[in-house]
Amino acid sequence: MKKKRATPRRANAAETRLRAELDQTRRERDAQIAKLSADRERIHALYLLEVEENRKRADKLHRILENTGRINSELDPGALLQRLAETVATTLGFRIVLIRVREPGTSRLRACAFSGIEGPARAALQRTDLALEEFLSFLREEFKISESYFISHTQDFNKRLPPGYKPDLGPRAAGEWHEDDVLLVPLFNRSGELVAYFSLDDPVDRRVPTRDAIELLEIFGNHAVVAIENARLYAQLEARTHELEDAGRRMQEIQVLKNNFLSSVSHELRTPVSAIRAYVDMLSGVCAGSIDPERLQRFIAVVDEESQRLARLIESLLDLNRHDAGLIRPSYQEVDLGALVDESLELLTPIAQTGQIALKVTGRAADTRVDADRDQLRQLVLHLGSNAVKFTPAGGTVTFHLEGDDRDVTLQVEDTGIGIPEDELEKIFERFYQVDASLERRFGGTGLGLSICKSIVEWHGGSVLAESRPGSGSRFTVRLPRRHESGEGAGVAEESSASPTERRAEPEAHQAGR
Amino acid sequence: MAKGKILVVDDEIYIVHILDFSLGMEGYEVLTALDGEQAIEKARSEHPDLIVLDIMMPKLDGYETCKILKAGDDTKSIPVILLSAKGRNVDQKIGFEVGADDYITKPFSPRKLVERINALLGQSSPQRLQA
Repeated sequence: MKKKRATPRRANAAETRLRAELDQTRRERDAQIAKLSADRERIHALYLLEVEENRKRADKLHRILENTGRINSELDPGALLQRLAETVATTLGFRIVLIRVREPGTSRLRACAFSGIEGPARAALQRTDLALEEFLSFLREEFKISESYFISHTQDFNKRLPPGYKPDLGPRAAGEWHEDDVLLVPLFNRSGELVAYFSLDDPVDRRVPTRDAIELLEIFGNHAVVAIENARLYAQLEARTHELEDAGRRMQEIQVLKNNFLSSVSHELRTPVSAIRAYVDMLSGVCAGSIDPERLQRFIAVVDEESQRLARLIESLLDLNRHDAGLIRPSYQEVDLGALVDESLELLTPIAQTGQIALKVTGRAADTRVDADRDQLRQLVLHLGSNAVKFTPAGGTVTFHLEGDDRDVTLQVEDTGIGIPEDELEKIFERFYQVDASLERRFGGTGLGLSICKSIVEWHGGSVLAESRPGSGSRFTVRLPRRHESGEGAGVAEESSASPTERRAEPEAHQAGR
Repeated sequence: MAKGKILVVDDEIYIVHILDFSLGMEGYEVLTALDGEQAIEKARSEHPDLIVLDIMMPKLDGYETCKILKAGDDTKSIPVILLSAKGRNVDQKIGFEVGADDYITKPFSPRKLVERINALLGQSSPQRLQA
């Protein structure tokens, strides 16, 4: 009986134990299920988060690429840089963007484009270039993230801060942007030269940028380099095209000048020839016998005079050509300009007396010694003098005024003549230019005198200036450097140019080449 | 009695002198002017039978002078011979466009010019007498 009773009791206990174990197992299973499902949810959430992150990143990338398309089509360098700055600001989320660009061939970085920087700050940036070495010294290994440099405010490195400045860190969350942080994105071209850099501040999300964000910036940066270089090449191409166009235009102008010159030359040469031929025709004609001896003499005198004029004209032309070609080499010596004025006065006095014109010299006491070619200088003084006398009516005065300082000797020839209209002043040194051609011819001039004067003065490294008030007279001012530095500038003249110093140097360069 | 009155216009005084002489020898009365403005004045006041006109002159060149002469009622019938160093065809063409009756290129022979003048006046004299 006992056995019988004991058996069920034992059975009961076993059952209870089994149940308990079962419960336990069930609970554990439930817990595991719950944990698994929680895990799954967590993983799912993480997954969603990542998808969202990636989507955002893709979005950003997309926007960048969209912008690069537009940027690559921008060919004006200035506009391009501004667009780059704005794109960085809007697409990549920085309120303050500065782009400094290296001027090609220099080591200066110039502030070229801005976003979020206005007024005096902007002006100050534009004023001051940054030296390349200084910028490169910012790019320390410890700041480097990807290919960019995040310079944290915790670095006492920041040069913008006054000495002893302790940034106020405040109760900021980890990774929060500080106003003294800065992110530099240097842009290198394929040959490894720095082209430009972005300096970024004040991110919209107030966070220190992640490596991802920086990499995005760099992708954009790479496109920017290409765009900047393209724009530069395009600008160069444009400049070259303009240069070529300008050169073409100059060639045409020169052609026109040459044609005008030639037609003037031929007219001026033909005029005395016409007279000579006409008189010779009369002298040799059937009527020659009926010309009275006195008239005959006059005709012969005209032929003689006109042939002399022709010879003078040809001489002047050849002179000018020799000047132009640098064939006349001045022989420099100490010349007293004042003494040359005295000499010229002797020659001019008879003509001046005939025309009832007074000749005056002022400033004769000045030291007017100058290194010059004596013959050429005499030609210059004589021409300016006779020119003044020619265009001065009876009763007028021609004044020679001399001056000299340490550097220059100056001669002014002033008349009380008919003057030169203002719009013609620039042209009077042109060949065959005369306000009134016949007047000049009637006075036996060649129309080349003033342009020869100009050549002579420029050749001596000096300058000549014409001033005038029509009706009350003209004044020619010649300034000659006291000393002629023969060696100076000889090597500089590579291109022929109208500039006096270069023109002066030209003959020396020619000689060096011989 | 002079064969006719001829106005010679040139800014080259020697050319004026030689024309004065050669035309005078031929029996013409010669008037002279040194520029276009003077020429128009004299043409209006003196009514010459023919005008010898240089082209390249100050103030008013030969083309302009000729145009004005040929537009004036009292001067349009006066024959004009342009005398110029401008020898290109186009210069002659302009010359005839402004109404010139003949065109002679410098350098020129005064004797040939006299022949041309004789010919021109021989043709135009009867008309001019009517006018």
